[in-house]
Amino acid sequence: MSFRNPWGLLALLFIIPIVLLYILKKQHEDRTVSSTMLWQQVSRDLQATSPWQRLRTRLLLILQIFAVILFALSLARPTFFGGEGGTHYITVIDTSARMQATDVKPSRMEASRIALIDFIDRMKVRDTMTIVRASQQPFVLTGPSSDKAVLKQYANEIEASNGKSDLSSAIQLSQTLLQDQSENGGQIHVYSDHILLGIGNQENLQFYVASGNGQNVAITHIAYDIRDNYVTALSRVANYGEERIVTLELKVDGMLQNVKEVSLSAEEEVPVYWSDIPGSAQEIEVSISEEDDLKLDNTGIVTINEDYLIKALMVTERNIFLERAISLRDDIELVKSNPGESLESTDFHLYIYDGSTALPDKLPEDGHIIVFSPSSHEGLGLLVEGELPPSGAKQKTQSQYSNLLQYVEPEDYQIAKAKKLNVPQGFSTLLQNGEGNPLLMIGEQDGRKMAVFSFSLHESNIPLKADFPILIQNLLNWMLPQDMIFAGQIFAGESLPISPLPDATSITITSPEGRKYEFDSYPAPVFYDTHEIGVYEIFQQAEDQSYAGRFVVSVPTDQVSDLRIGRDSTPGQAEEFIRTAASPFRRDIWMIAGWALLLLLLIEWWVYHRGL
Amino acid sequence: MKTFDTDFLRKLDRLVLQGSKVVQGGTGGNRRSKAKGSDIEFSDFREYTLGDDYRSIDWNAYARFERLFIKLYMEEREANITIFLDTSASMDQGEPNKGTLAKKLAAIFAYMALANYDRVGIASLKDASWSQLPYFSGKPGFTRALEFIDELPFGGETHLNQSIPAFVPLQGRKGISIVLSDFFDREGYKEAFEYLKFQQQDIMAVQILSPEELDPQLSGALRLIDSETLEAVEVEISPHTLNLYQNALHGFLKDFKETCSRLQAASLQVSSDISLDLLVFEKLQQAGMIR
Repeated sequence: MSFRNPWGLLALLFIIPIVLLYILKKQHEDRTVSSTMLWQQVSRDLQATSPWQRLRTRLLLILQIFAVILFALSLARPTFFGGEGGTHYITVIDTSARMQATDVKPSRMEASRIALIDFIDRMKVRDTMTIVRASQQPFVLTGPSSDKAVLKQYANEIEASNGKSDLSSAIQLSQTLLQDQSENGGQIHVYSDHILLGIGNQENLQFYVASGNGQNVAITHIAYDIRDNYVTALSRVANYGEERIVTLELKVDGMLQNVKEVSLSAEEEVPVYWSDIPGSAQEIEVSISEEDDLKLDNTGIVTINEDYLIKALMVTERNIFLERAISLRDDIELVKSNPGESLESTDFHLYIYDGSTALPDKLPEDGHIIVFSPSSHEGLGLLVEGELPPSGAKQKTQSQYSNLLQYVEPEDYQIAKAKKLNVPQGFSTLLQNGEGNPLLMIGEQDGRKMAVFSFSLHESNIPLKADFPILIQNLLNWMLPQDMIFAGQIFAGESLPISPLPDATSITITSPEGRKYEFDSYPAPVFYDTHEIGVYEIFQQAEDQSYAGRFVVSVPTDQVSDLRIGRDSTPGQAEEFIRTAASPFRRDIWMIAGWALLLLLLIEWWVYHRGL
Repeated sequence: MKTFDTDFLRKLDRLVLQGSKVVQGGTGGNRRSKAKGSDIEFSDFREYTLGDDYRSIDWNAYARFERLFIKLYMEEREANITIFLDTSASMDQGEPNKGTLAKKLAAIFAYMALANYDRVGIASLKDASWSQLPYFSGKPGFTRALEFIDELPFGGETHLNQSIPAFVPLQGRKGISIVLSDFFDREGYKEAFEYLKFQQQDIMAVQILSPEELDPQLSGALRLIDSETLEAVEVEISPHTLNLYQNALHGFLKDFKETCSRLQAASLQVSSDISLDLLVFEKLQQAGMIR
């Protein structure tokens, strides 16, 4: 036996006050009567019958204790496992955005829910059910249960998402679950808008298809381009139904700006351009005026974020190769200084120290660091142990930073002279020479990212290689991602890795419906709750300033907008095999405990009032 | 005490106390004497006093002496009616109050006796002692009787076995003794009744209990305090406890009836919420106390 709600057993604590009430002497209320002559006789009679009275008192106490036990059991919801059982069903419910389509009334999701609840109602006493939600990743909502109330509660709480669903994975998971939970068969019931064949064992698979003659037009894409302080927006409209004319509305920052009529033949997708949008626009929204069977994808939004300049300081005597490689990034404002010069502002996102004299004794408090050919440095924990002879370079195998060498071929690098460095704590070697001495070390400390080259670029052929800018850009992208604030467009249900600014202390994301999510800046957070579609605001708070940006979560139209996917499916098309075999079953007995409690209370009432 | 209206009193006029004892002494009454034969036989003269039956006035004597004289006959003598009213603290309980009903009943008995030209004495019993309105006759004395009854205070304990025998004025007076009480007397009342029998009294005992004594509407854990002795009894009221009380009450009422029956006393048990009409014109007659 197990308990669904073991906390309910805390109700057993009620036994303590009940016993105390029986033990403690009762407070008598004074009442004047004509004469206590008869009451004295009653008192004598009571004493004469006291053994039975004590028993009766005990009987009431015992009944009350039993009542508390049954009450606690009812709350704890005990279940027990038995041998001979009914059929175990695993129910998979598709929660893709397509299930919101209203071509089946009231919607595909609601129709599936009604069918599921109807099935739950018809389950036999010993039948059990597990409910699996097919979403971006399959999720088991409830374990095997015969409690129809619980199953219905879960069925009622399931909602269609705004994203895609992985029905295939959900069915595979269900087949694995079925093997674990039911030794002798069982069935998988899939509630979706289409049939998915060819996954594992089809014998125990049954589909309930909710699909109609869905007509849908969707905004499948929206993008913008800024030229001459004017914005041009491109939107794509796709027709997943019969030929029709639709009206498109353009809203800029919430204000209606333009309306266009578009004629769409069946299965046609056309581009629609919108020009002369003011350069100050921050949010462009294109929507379809007409109603169709899936409203979700009738709007496309794109946000225009202000350019954000990253400030970088390069301390070098001269390094034109490096300067050029960095300048490929428009958003980086590079400030150069000679070694030994002190700058008024130390507020840089990136510091590049090129040469043994460039590295200051005291490192800035924040900002990422790239060092070339350093001398020993206490702050970084670097110790120069000598010089390395000329050598080639190779990638250290199994490095966690190997993606920094993407599209880079270090085998062609030749280094004439390098310093023999130790590997400080927090660093790991990415490039090394033939003897295993580090040539490039990558490290992270408290959110600060660092790269240490043990050689000067001038002492190598690397700047001459075609992949040198790629290596530098890889490093810059790792340290300062271009979309650190503006994450671009993502689809509902996808996770969003956030790249905090180096000096950010906290990050706040506000969803379209106003939900707020707070994150620490380190370690770099990942935002998962992208179920709402629309514009999210992201706010990074640094010590002195803050950075605000926005990103749009949209509907994966290529996955969910075509409602015709299940049109040829008919319910029950898949072959149906129903087995009624002995399988372990779990049964809730709280109802029994509840009825027993009621009966016990009636007995107690009878005992008390009959004066037994 | 505004208890009785004229109509009620007129009805009372027609009722007579039922006594079997040989009456003794006194002036003309409506009660027949066994001792002196069956014919109307002149016995004596007595000067007329207020309240005497004017039919008995000897007009010849008046002509001779110009004073009113009453003829006394052996056959018709006035009876001695003694009303014992329990005024202990327990009688001052109940809703309606038991003592109030007892006082009214005492007044009624007194009125009926006076209307029948009997002599009436009223004794208030409290603890082991008594106080009295001495024997008198004649309706005009009724007002005095009412005042006496009305002013009787309640208090003290009930000790009927001591207070009734201590009532000296009764000694040597055959007649009717009416005892009005709840009879909540731990020492009992048998000795008192036997004493009354010894004093050649026809006993009429009316036991008055309140509705809450007959059917207690109590609940919970109570400390019941005796109104007379202030003794406390702790009981937890349950259906079982109430059953035991009903058993005790039944025994108490039964004992009263049996005692009265054994001593040939007329008895009546009433609840203090009974209406006066029902009590006087039905219950008292059924109990054989009046006719």
